[in-house]
Amino acid sequence: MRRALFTALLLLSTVPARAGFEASIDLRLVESDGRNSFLDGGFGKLRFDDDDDGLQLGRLRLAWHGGIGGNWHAAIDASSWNPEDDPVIDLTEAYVEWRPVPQSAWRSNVKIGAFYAPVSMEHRAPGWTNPYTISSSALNTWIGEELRTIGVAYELEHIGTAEGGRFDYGVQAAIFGWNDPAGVEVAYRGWAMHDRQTTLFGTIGTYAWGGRTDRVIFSEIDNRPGYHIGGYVRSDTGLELRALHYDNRGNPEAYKESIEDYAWDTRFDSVGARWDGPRGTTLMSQWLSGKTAADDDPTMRWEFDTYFFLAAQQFGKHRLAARYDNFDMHQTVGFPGARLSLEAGTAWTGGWTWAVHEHIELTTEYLRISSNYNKRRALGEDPKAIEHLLQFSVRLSL
Amino acid sequence: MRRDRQTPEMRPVFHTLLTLMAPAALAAPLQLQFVGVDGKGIAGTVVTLRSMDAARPLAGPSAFAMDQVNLQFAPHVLVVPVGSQVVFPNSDSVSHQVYSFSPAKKFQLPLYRGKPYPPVTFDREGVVTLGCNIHDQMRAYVFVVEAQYYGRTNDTGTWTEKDVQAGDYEVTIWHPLSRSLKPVLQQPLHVDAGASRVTLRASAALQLRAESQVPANWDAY
Repeated sequence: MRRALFTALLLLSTVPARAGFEASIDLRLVESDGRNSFLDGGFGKLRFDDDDDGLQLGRLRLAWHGGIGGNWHAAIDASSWNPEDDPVIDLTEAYVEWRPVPQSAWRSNVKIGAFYAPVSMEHRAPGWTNPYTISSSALNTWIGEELRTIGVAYELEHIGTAEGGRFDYGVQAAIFGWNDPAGVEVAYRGWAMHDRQTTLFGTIGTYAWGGRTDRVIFSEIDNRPGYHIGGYVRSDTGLELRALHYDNRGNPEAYKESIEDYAWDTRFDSVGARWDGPRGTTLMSQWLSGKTAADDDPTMRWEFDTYFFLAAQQFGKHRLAARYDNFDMHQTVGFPGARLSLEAGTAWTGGWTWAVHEHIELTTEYLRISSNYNKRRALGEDPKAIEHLLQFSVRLSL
Repeated sequence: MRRDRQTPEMRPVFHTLLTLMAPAALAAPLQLQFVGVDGKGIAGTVVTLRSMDAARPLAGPSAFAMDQVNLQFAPHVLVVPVGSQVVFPNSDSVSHQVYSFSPAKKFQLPLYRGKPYPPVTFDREGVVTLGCNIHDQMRAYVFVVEAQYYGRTNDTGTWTEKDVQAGDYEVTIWHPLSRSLKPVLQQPLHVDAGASRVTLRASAALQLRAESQVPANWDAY
């Protein structure tokens, strides 16, 4: 695995900067007192726990996007998050897009492949990267872990600001498959905060009945397509509002032996607001509320909701950001003779990004996450945990 | 570098000829300042002076460039006489797909980088909003004008034209970020023989759009 990473690094260093090609490596210096990470089978909320102090690979990314003829474009994004992952480097998104040149303020586009539903207001930079803090909000961490639209999306937009209007707006509808396990992480493990995205052919290491398992998230189990429908309005004052409804239409009784998982029936609503002020100020907030179910067992039902507020200010090449997160997850009917599985928590995150050079970016992040999850008792742990993470990232890009 | 006005060597030949032929007393410098209701100069507005005398020749067409640098159009605003040709080089390493669906000029340049397409002729008066189909945050404006004199106000809201012939004009001022594509001011202006300074005041506070400050490669859903 280390050899594969080394090869990728070597490749990165020798590939000339070509049209549409992007490559970056993000190395971290980490100081954490986090509980045993969910990635190692614990109930810790962080990607890096107290065993991970020191130098770590944040992310290695290789991407390409460009025209492939006519009105068609293609985008492919591959990342490695850990040299021990299998596959060591894998796709996070890959799609083709039909995007004709607008002939009027009305325009449309069609995406086919695997891509993110337009939920996150944080992940504005290429590669679904959060430019404000290293770790994402609990809400968008979950989107990166468990959600991917693998199918077709159609978007109709009206770009009124190009003809003297005050608003741009659009609606997007998608039909997708291969997202049936979505919901398993938030139900079994609860919320988390980090920057790792589950790759299309990869897994997410997680807690499972006292041990660790590698879960496949992108798999078709019930042969029943899901959908999302959403929309946005953007005003010429810099305010943008988004809303999205997601339903993977999982049949909870469908089970797939090869990945040992159900088709989780997961649906949620999310709304977000973001304002980019004239002097480099950005304010945003998102809220998401949903539920999930697996199996025909009435105890296998969960509800979850979360929101965050983020404020950021750009000072020349520096950007400061602060975020407050609040999250909650609970079982709706308890296991016989057992308590309901309940989780509630809050977090504060501060980020400082310095764009030192066109190709070098330094980010420092401090994160404090406080959570109370009664399932921790199953591991003999105190259900209440306060975890801290200080990490420093150096990102070199082509 | 933003080049918001014609460089001297690009000025129409007739302009130079007129200046040479006209008696000195008839052409004089004009300094025009455009201020808001608060009295502060408004930078970056587009100013045109059109003679009331229909027989006076208009500024003739010329050649211009609208570059694409670091995922932005440069300049952000280009003022060109009707009939001018604009070439769209691409100084970025990524491809761009320039388009406009503005009534004054509908066109598109299929995805390209490096060698630009032949120049585009802007043959109708009006405001042309330019976009890139790949990078939605790229916006620029071409003001296609029919006038004897034209330019943009500087940081103090002032526009200076060296040789303006005396006479009656209509002065028109646009702001590229105005919430309307209509002029923010339009009124008659008499220019005396001999150097003159004029201050024009907006009748109401300008309602301006907030153009995005975030990097152009963000928000690419």
